[in-house]
Amino acid sequence: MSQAIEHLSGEWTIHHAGELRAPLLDLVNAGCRVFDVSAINEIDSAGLQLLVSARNALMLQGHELALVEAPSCVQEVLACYGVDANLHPLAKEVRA
Amino acid sequence: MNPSDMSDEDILATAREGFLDEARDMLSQFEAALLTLDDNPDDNEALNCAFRAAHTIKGTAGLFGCDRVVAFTHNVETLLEELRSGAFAMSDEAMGLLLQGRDQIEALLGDVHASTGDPALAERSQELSQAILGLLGGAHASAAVTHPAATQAQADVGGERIWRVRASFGVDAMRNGLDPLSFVRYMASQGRLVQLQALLDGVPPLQDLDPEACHLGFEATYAADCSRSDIEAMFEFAVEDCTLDIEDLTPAPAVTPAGTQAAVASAVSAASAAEPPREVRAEQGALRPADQRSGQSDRRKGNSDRRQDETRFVRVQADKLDRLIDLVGELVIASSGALLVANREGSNAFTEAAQRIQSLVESTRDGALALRMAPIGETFARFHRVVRDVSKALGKQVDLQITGAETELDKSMVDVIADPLMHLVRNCLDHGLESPADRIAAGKPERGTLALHAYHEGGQIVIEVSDDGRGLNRELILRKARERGIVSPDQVLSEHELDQLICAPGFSTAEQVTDISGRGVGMDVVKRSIESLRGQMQLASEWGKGTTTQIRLPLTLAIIDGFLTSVGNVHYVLPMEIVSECIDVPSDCHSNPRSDVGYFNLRGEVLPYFDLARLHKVPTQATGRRSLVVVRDLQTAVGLVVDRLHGEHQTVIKPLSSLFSHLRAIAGSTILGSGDVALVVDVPALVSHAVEATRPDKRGHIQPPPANASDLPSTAVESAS
Repeated sequence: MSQAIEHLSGEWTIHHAGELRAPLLDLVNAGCRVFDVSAINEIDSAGLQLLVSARNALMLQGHELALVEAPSCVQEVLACYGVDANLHPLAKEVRA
Repeated sequence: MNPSDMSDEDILATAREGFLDEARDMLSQFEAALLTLDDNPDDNEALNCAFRAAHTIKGTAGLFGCDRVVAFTHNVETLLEELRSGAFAMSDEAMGLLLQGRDQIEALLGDVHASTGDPALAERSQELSQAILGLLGGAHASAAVTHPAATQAQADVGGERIWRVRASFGVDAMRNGLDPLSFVRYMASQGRLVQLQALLDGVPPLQDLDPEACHLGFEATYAADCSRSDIEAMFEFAVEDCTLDIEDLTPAPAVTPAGTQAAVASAVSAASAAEPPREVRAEQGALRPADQRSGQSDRRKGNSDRRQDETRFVRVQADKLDRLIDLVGELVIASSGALLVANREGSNAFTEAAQRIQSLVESTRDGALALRMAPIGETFARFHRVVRDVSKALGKQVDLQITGAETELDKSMVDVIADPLMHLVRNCLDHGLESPADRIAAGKPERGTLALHAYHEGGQIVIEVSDDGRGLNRELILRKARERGIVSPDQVLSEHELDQLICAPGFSTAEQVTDISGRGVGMDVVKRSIESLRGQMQLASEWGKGTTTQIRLPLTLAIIDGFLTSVGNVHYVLPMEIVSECIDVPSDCHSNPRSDVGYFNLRGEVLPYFDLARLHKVPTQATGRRSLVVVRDLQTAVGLVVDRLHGEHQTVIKPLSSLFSHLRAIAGSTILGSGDVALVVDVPALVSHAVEATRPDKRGHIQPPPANASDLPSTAVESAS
């Protein structure tokens, strides 16, 4: 896919969720589907929810969202919620 | 939505068909993804897509209690999972197993109606599962499917209790400083999260999202040595912002009555389907027992991601559509009738209204017809697999090129042409394309190309299957045809006609012909099935360069733009697309001793003509100037002599009853606005009839044409149109 990869960075937490939404929406509306999240240094449920919400918006347009280069903090959250890099639920075994 | 209105049986019965349809869609996605992977093993997106498809099939199959499908698909999924995690690298063997797995899933899906599975299928499942697990190494050997061992599942669970914990958080949870994640982490620290699934369907699309509101939740299968109240306690300080739903899945007799027993049974069977030791699929437990309605509706919500997609499509029964199209057909007739009356009455206002109605009816017609159209791409796509498998088996290298996949044709046609196309594709692979060594020796690229091409032309859909292989050996074909008496010794045939000989019945069965000519396997069967669809099939080949088989099919859609003509008191409708021009009957025709059939000169091109009056021996109109309509079909242009031209006509084709099925050159009938019946001319059949009738060897007194009629040509057509 010759899609441009957009970089997301910073703290994706409840404290910043309000300011993160608008720029993300712009990216989604511009047709971005692949996001490099390597520069995200903190993420919580609010951050994940934003990404899931972006995915839902893309899915309405018939596209998939993909996260690439997920750093450990993002991977941990994805694993906790049992979703894959497309933010689809994954009935994958989570072991504590 | 409320399932309590219906019994479980009803729900299952109505939903099962949808499930099977969906599973088939998923399988084709699965296959497409695998084939992408086959070309490009590093394509993670394709791998994910294949995994998701397998996972969805497994999940929904579980929902419907298709344990055999679940059990088998699980193993395929395991293999994909290993590939995804990078623990195992894609290999030819893995790909082969995945593709065979796909076929097996399809076979199992076809068998879900049977209460006990086909033993042969079960055996095959077993074989393939073992092959997959064997490939993955001993690690997963314990996950071999066969018979669920209830005791095993219980033993593995040990003294722990298994809970299904479903937590959905309130809108204000995150604002209040509660993060669902912290609960997940806390639970994980207190026990074992066997499985956790996020509940993400409540999350609105970004444009509607309040980023600080919480729409998340999760559903976990949780194994821990704790009681229900212990779990409740974990969520205690979120009690206002969290809805908790805890269910005991522990397969133990202590936990009371019937419903739970069912839960046990299903948990056990699910466990055997999934990796038996740990993964207890709570979803399945939720579906079956009658006392777990809440679980069931939860599952439904869980699927709503997919349903969002589905809402863009509406499944309609085909016969409802057919009825609608019939009605629209009647409407077209009625509206042209109304226009006729309006014209006769000479009322401008009435005419205007009738015209307005007619144009609306035409749009309605187009819309209604479009409902039944389906792109041919779906049919084409399945050939990726065929080409891959057959070329591998034959040791050939073949690229499949598909163009025009979006070309639409009637859904019923899409289904029917699949088999003939398969035959043609296999023929190309078997006989048309050479082995890599032969190709190099012939100075051609090592990889052969097989092309599937579809487009609309002249109210027909044209499908071409072509290869760049060795082509047809015409000398051999002719010799064989003469030996078999298909062609008389002195008959002279054009190259084009020679190519068609391999479709002659009786030509195909001879093995030696097949071997030598490299073609002709059951081509007569293919041709017959195409003709049964009122289509035609033509071959064109160049020795050493390749062969193209062209199939032309009518859109069979009940309604066409026609050109209305009449001979005597009989009306004939010609499809508008093939009418290239209308002229006065040329003088050549008058000088011809038999005026009903012969040749005429159209701006230097000699074309056969044919008097339509001859077709049904209708007396022509005594007075008035007659006209000649030039129609073209493929390579041939033919003049048709008629009494009168009436112009364009919206034609609703009514099939002729079987009483008339022996009639040549008539495709159907139609009712005119005036109530008269008109016959719809099947022009290709008429043209071949005309060409035959004018053939010199049959009608000696006709001047032989300068060129063979069927080769006549495109130049005439071009200059004419």
